[in-house]
Amino acid sequence: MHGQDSRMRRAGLPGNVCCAVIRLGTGLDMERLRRRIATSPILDWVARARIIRPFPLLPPLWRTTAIPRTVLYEHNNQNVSVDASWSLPPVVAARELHAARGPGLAFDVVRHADGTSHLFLSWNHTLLDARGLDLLLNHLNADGATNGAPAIQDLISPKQLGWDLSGWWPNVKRARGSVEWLHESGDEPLFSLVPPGPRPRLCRNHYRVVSFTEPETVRIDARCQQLVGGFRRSHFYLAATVRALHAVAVQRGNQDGAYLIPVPHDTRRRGANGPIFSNHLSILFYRIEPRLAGRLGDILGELSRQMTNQIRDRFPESCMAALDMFKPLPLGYYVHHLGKPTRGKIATFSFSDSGETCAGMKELWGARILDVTHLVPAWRPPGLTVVFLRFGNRLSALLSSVDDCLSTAEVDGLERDVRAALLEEGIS
Amino acid sequence: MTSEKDPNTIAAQLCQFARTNFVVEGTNFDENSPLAHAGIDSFALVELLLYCERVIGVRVPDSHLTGNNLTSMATLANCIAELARNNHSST
Repeated sequence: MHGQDSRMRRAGLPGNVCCAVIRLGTGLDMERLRRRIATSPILDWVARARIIRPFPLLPPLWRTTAIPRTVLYEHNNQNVSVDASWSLPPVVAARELHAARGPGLAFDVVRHADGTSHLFLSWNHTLLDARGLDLLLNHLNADGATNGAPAIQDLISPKQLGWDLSGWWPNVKRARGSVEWLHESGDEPLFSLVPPGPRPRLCRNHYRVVSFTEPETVRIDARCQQLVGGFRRSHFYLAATVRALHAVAVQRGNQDGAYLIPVPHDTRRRGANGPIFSNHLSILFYRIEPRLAGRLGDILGELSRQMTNQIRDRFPESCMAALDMFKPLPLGYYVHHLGKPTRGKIATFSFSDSGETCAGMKELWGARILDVTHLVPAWRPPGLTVVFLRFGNRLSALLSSVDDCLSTAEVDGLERDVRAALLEEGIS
Repeated sequence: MTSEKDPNTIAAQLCQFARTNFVVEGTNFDENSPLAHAGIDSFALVELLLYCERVIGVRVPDSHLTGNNLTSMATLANCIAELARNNHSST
């Protein structure tokens, strides 16, 4: 994650920094938020934490500085351009969140003249994942939680706090299956959105948010229940996305390559309030052949079969072991193993289903939560990241793309086809 | 492998597996708890079904993964017991 952040910045992209855009109603109690941030031992740690790698062949570690850095920024009566094109206010977009310098997280509260607010919660992915952010918000929103707040060592993986290389060699053995699979996955051609030739000196990230109303979300759930028994929502969303991307491939006249999609899986137990920090994700890899990518039913069948086989073969555990194995090694080894088998393509696109965001929360510091969107930057390669999430009873999908990989017309087509596949009864 | 055919025994085994692997300690969880509220997502469901194959000796086909059968461990156990009685073994 840390190395990926540097690679993205070199390409002109905003680093591996995500932003939760939370629209709040009236009544935000800023004093309560300031107090919670000032008194929370967890936020105190965040404000001091930075990641370091003191020696090339040792894992990166979290270390804290003596003086906490600012994490809360307040802006009044700004004309915030949070519109259909999802361009962040310049002050938020320009905020540098380097995990190596710290802090890796910032709250920008923009208060509007009508009493409503926007909270832009930006975080470096090296620090935490989307589920960790939800847990952090829950902690900060709960009054009186400071006294009983969990200790830092309960919130962050012990392996991130100190060096323990005793498990490295066993990890190499466990990692073998997933590394071999990755190497074999590149034997057959893959479809890539990245154009051939050298990368432009600077790339730009575009965000498109596809929002569904409550009645539309009810229809999608009913269709999901009908197609996959309601328990494989992520598969339904992923199948709709693959089908839509296949239409792009057909338009480009490139129907020979398979679609390779890494899908993260949160390894925390449901209902657990930690760990908040670090990433607790394993990965399943799906490979969909183009001959199956035109029909939802075929894609869903393939996803189900591949998921079962991978869990049966203990692939997610092997993948976790591989990620831990690569951590102490120089970034070049990781890039080599990830990129070489696919000749630099790495994947067709990144996909995740964040599930319910701000789960169980109706208000933050006295203001009702009206809407939540996560802006997740796209990596290049592959040039497209798709994130589904739900807030309340509404589903939304983020199409985050790099400008030289997908044209605006192609993003329009993706949006149209994803909506149709999720909503229209006639599409199978 | 001889398949277990008693739904109560199967439900108890499934609950134990879920408590060990998915459900946070201290959470109220029994055979009648809704699966969706107990950390049973698609990933966990596949783990649960593979456990059924391995330990109970029954393979649950996709066609049986309906909303009714996946309401709770009790309903899933009934489905597995029914499959066991019809000799739907995993081997």
